[in-house]
Amino acid sequence: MSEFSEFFRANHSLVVGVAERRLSSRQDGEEIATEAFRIAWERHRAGEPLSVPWLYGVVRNLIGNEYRRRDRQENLHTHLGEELSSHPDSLDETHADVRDALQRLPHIHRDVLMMTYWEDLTTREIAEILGTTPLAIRTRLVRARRLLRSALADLDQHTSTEVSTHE
Amino acid sequence: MNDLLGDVLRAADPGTVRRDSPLSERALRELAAFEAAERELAAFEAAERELATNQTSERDPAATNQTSEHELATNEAAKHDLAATEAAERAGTSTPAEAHHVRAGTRRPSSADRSGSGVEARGSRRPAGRPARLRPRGRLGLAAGAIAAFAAVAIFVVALINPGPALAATPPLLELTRVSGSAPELLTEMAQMQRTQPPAGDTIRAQMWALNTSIAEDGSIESSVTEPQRSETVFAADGSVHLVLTAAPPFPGQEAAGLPKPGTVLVDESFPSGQWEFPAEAGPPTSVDEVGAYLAALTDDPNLSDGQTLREIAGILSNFPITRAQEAALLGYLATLDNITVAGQTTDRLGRKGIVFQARDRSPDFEDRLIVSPKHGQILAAETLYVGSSRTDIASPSVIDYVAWER
Repeated sequence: MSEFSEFFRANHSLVVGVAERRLSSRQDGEEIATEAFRIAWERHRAGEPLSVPWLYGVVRNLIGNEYRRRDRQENLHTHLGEELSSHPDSLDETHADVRDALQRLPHIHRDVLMMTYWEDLTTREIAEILGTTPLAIRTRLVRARRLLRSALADLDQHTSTEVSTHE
Repeated sequence: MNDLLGDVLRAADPGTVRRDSPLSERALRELAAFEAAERELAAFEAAERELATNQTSERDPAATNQTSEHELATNEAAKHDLAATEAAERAGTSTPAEAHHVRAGTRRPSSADRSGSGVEARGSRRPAGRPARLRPRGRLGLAAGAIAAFAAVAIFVVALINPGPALAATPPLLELTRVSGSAPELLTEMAQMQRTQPPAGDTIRAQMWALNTSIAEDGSIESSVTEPQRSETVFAADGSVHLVLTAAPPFPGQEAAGLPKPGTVLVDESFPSGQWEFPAEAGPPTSVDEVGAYLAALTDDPNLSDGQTLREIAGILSNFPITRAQEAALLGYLATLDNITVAGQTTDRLGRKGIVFQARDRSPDFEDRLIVSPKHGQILAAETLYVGSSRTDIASPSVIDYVAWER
């Protein structure tokens, strides 16, 4: 398998997933991936190296372009996954709660949680993408988890009161 | 990481495609098209090489002119592609000119692409036999350089007119004075000093700071500045690790308003045995000859730049209580590298005299540094400088992260 082939196979789904979550559309995710790998192809043909951090930067720029094209600035902080929710069961509410809690975190903490748990990037990759050290990412992640736990606990207290009145 | 929270988060993932999901049909079609193009180009390159070696000095003038026109046309196409590539790669800002540049440069996924035939359409734009990238690099290289230069000037001019948000405040640069001795000499000396030091403990105390960089939804790089932090990491005999992170005083020149009071506990977390990212078995070797292989395995990268090596060593020092022998081996290994130079002598951010070793080979945008004590041979601190020219969120050069170990 050629170097480009390997890179494509290894990273195509990563790109679709990253784009899908931010654009709330799998179709858009696939289109971003098509464009991203076309750009990767050009880069490869020019003799430049391919890497995950580079690719991730390209994908975020393409997503940014799509936001501008849609011209809906408020979507920069859209509730995640509203259009994507596909679990029609009682867990859905819990998942929505988790996503809500995530939404309330400061941008950088939300990002590092998403990149770690949804995009499956390693600490090292995240550090390279953001131009910082793995140590900084890991301490940010520790802090982010702590913040999320508090946000979820707040939610919990709130919902348990509500549940009792519904009963 | 211990991970009930992680499991809950993963379960709440709104995405339907994960990193390890199998390729979609559309992806497989596109991949097949790329692979076919690669084979075609490879065959073509081979044919071209053969032609070049068989060429005589007498060529049919008419054919030569036609060839030149062809090359011009394909080079124009290639220039456009390259501009599109560069535009998409460059971090966007909110300035209208750059947004326009990015919009104009990046092709929207068209219906042609949707059907997966985009790649073939591209291929047909290049007249059979002249993929522009295969032309002598010089010509295309000049075009690409001219485009990049033009774009850089355009962005610079726009930045002057629309200054945008103020640059983030970063810690002062260390003042350097000259010191004699080459990097290999000094590092070797320091490695030897290390071996005579009393044993190190099982607690790592450090002060650190990093620019909080994130990528905004619109693709641009955003930086915010937080307070320096102090960490204390205790490695217990049973393999568990306890991390306490507290707010440290602001760095010189940093606006203190809005920062947590120094001493405020930010994180107080225990990691049961096996859950600290740096397991005990993963410590570095005590012999210089084994360090290269160790780092390659640690990073899964056999070709670490010397700058990356410095950063990895900093990572080890922050996450693993290394022994004197291990530290000596790391220093001895650095003495064998070609791209490490002595930047000078300094007083580090915790007031200690140190020799600053640097490497610039990781990226043209960054300079990586390791500061070592000339008195004890101990590694004192590490930092990274941004030395590029394209970012608008920070000055250049500026410190974008540092860590200083209290040792």
